[in-house]
Amino acid sequence: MPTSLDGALRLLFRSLAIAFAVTGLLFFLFPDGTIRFLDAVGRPLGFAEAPVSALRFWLSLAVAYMVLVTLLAAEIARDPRGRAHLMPILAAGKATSSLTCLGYFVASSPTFVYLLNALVDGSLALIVLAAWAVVGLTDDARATRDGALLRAVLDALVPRGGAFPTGAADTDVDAALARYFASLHPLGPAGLRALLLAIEYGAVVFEHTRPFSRLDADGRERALAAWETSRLAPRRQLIASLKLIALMHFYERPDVWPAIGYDDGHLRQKLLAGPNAAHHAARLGVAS
Amino acid sequence: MTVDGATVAHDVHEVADVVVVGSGAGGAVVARELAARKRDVVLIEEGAFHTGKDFTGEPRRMIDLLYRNRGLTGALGRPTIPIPLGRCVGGTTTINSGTCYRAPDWVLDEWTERHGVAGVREPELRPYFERVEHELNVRPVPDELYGQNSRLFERGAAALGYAGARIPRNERGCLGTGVCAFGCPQDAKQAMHVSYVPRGLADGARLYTRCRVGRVLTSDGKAIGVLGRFVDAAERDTGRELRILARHVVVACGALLTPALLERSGVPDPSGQRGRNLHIHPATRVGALFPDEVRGWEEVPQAYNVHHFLRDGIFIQGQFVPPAMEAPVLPGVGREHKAIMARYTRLGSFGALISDESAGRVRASRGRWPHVTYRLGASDARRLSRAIGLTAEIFFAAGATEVYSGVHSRPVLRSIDEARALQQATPPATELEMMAFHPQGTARMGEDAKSAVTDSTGRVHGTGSLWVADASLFPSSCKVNPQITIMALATRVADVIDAAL
Repeated sequence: MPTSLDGALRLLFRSLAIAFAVTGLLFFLFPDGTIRFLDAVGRPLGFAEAPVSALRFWLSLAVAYMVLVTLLAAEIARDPRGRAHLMPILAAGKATSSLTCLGYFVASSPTFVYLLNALVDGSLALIVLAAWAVVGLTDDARATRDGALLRAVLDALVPRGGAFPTGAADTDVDAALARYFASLHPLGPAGLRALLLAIEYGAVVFEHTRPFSRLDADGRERALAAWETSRLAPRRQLIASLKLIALMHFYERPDVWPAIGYDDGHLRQKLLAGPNAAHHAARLGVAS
Repeated sequence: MTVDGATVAHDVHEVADVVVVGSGAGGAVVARELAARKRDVVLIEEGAFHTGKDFTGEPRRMIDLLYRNRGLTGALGRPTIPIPLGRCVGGTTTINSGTCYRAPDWVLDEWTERHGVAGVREPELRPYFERVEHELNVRPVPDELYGQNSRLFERGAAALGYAGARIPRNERGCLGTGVCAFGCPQDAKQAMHVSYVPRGLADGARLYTRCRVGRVLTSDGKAIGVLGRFVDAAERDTGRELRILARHVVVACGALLTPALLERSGVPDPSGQRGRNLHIHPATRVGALFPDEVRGWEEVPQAYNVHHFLRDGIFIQGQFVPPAMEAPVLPGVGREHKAIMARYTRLGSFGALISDESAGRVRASRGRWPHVTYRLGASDARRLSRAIGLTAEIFFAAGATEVYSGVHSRPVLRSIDEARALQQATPPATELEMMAFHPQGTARMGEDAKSAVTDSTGRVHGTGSLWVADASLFPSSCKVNPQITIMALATRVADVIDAAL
């Protein structure tokens, strides 16, 4: 994972921990004052006022929740990659807080504090989930699994047998493809991983089969074909992108050309015939 | 004098009569024409200076070497459309197929009558066209370079009564290597890097390569120069800058980058048209299976056209590519796809290209690549479908047994009736596999400063010394491959600048 990304994630969760701590403390020390302040903000916007309650039982539960999310965020900040499994837990807490407030806002009382919390905690849940996805997509430890999945996809795209014996499995196209994505952009490997995961679980979502890697060879070929013939344009574009890059790498290989009747004899003959012939001859290691 | 920006160890500050940004079809011509008249010219190019000695004919390596963003440029929309561009001395002329057409008379008339452009009717531009064609040795593809892919298609078109012709190309000593789109290994194609640029250098122009111009310098609304940064072979900023102060500044970065540079530079745009009016030529490569061998890689890839439907915005041209480029656009996966590729020697391939009515937009972004948006409208989708259907019909008339259409809902056509049905189809744009070429129109010319970015000669309205000299100037689609029209207009820009100096 890029170091800069590590740093950004650490900063994100450290900031969240501080924000949660400050907010929890404000609620605990000034519960009525906080509500009154938020009511004052919402009043000019036409929101109803939240009722003030003397009962502190719910406050104690809320403070306990804030302590919990603060500690979760602080723990994640220490090692975002090592503790990435805590991110969905934190997101679940924030999503629950957001959705319950949204429910109360819609069904019970249109007060500003409900809406504000729904928006803020909902956004935080999405941010935490996005961070989790980023960690997942940039996790070097997944490389082995990704390599196997990439080989499975390429094997379905260009299987052994059929019209000619050579398939992607007989080449190092998988390694070449991984290098190509890495050379495109620092997040290129993450893009390849996202593409592979879409194919892996797309089989479950769209074809209602097992994940792609657990299908047999015919099933994998059918799953890939389903992407190409899908009615959803983004699905077709995704497989078109994969075909473009993968087949470009496969069919540029001279060892594949005899099977399709292509040869570069014509190109070589012309390279060695014109004004730059000597230069091309030297490059090709032949007499001009 | 040529300076490779990657080797520059200090900041460079110079003065010149004219500084030209971009060495493609527009910039190279302006630079050479002015240098020939003993004007002090600096030409700046973001890419490197490669020649045929560097061109191996290997598609992916050459795309990495010569194409902007390794070929991954395009317009966002539904669908997203790839638009490949050159980034090297010579610009896209280095990687095009060498096809040379003048904008048709009726297009020039439309520019005059509908868009208020002065001095661009055919008789007025004819001397410029002739001059450019003479410089580039434009001539139709000769017999010895005319191969089976083209001959079959010509036969099909003749059988159907569709008008077509051999394509005029800018070449001297073409051997039919068949890899024009990846740089001509013998420098036979008269792209700018072997024609106008070296002639301009011989006449005294100075060329800085690997220099990324960030903005046009202005003072009191007048362009006074440009500021750029040198980059190394990996496109990283070297930390060195190029500052050229000049009496005239010519921007010729192509229709996707020119408006973005003007916007980034804070050049006023009273017309509100800068970056708008983006026109492209959406195209689909149509493959066909023949009973006998075609071996389309052993000929000039773009040698024959069918121009019968040009007034309808349809232009069909040869477009054969090596297997690594052909395989991705053929239908199917797995064994089905392998079965088609196993018959590669029997494949023919032509491109169905349309002139659009839709228009996109270019805006400067914080990154190097501008924000390009384009949505292909329903009428253009119908037109492209018709163009594909016509191409397929011609293939069947020539004896093809299968046609690979690039249309999602009917990827394989098996009869001439299916091809004709496709001509009447109304598929949504997202059904069509396409890429696009020839971006144009984003700094359109015209006399009225309220509706055009530049005047009829290419001078940006409201500035005395800032010029545009590329396909951005076209007020509407030029309907054909644009390089010759760009060069003719650029020659005229040079004339006007010379007179103003």
